[in-house]
Amino acid sequence: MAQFRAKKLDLGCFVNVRNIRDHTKRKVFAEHEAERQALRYIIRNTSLSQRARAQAQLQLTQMHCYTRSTQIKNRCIMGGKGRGIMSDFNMGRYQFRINALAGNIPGVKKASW
Amino acid sequence: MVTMIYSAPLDAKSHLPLDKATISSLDELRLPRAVYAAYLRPLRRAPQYGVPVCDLQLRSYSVRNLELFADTAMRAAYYLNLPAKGPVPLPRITERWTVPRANFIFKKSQENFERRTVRRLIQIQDGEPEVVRAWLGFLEKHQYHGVGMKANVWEWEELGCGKKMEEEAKAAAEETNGLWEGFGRRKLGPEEKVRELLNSEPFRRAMHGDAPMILPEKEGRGQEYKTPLHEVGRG
Repeated sequence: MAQFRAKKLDLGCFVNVRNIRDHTKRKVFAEHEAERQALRYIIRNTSLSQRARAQAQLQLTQMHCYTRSTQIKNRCIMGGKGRGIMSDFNMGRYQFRINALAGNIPGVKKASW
Repeated sequence: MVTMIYSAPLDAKSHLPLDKATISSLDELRLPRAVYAAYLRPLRRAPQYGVPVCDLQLRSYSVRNLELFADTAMRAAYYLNLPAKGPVPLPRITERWTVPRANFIFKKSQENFERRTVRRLIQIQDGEPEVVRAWLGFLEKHQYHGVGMKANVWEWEELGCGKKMEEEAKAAAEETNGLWEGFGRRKLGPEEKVRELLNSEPFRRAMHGDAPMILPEKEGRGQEYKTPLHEVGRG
């Protein structure tokens, strides 16, 4: 969402609207994580009054979807691909192969055994 | 040993190279011990009690860099009077990945990649904590490219040190609280935030009054907090 997006580009990898969006979601989630956890705690705490817990439920459902951790998705830092990302390198498999062959990934070589 | 030493001409007349006898006699001169030691395996001190104080693990993808740095670390330990054991070659970690060669379909033709991490372990025994810290600091300052370090340090205290340790822990916590705030997984409880939320206006109303549940006032949501009607009258 536009209100969360940084005014100036603050991303160093492959730039793509989807990559920027994912980056924004990560930042927003990090910012609001404490609040989310507090609300979740209140909701689950049976020693608090029912009304307070209901109020917390209400507030939690009203929070923006960008504050959810499930909105975050790993994307390829070299090509922006959204599926089949190797979590070790944050890259799609083809980009991984290209970069490994070019020697850009430290220590990764062609294997033969 | 390679020693080719030519002294600079002392006066303007003797600019000719040295005669053979002088050269051979110069060749026979030995290097200073400390310099000559660089050609030999690193010296090591014998531990008196054998109490482990520090385990330093070095990791790299290249054996050459790793060997060189492990050697440096051993020499540094010797000159700091630290008894060091090692470098012990630990089992190397091999990670393998198989990916299709093509960017799209053609799964039958794939390629294998691997990354081998080689490791060395250096153990310091019977060292004073301060010296061990100096050693680690020296190694950190002169880090070699492509070599990672990880150190486990154990310190031994005198008996009856409980009070002292408590004080130290307090001081250390003050120092590191800011630095390690975000470290670990949900270590920080939500207590503060919970307190803040429970003391906020909508919650207080929900808990201590019979007011309807109210959405919190938030920036950018365009929803304003309104005082319930029955309270307006009271004010």
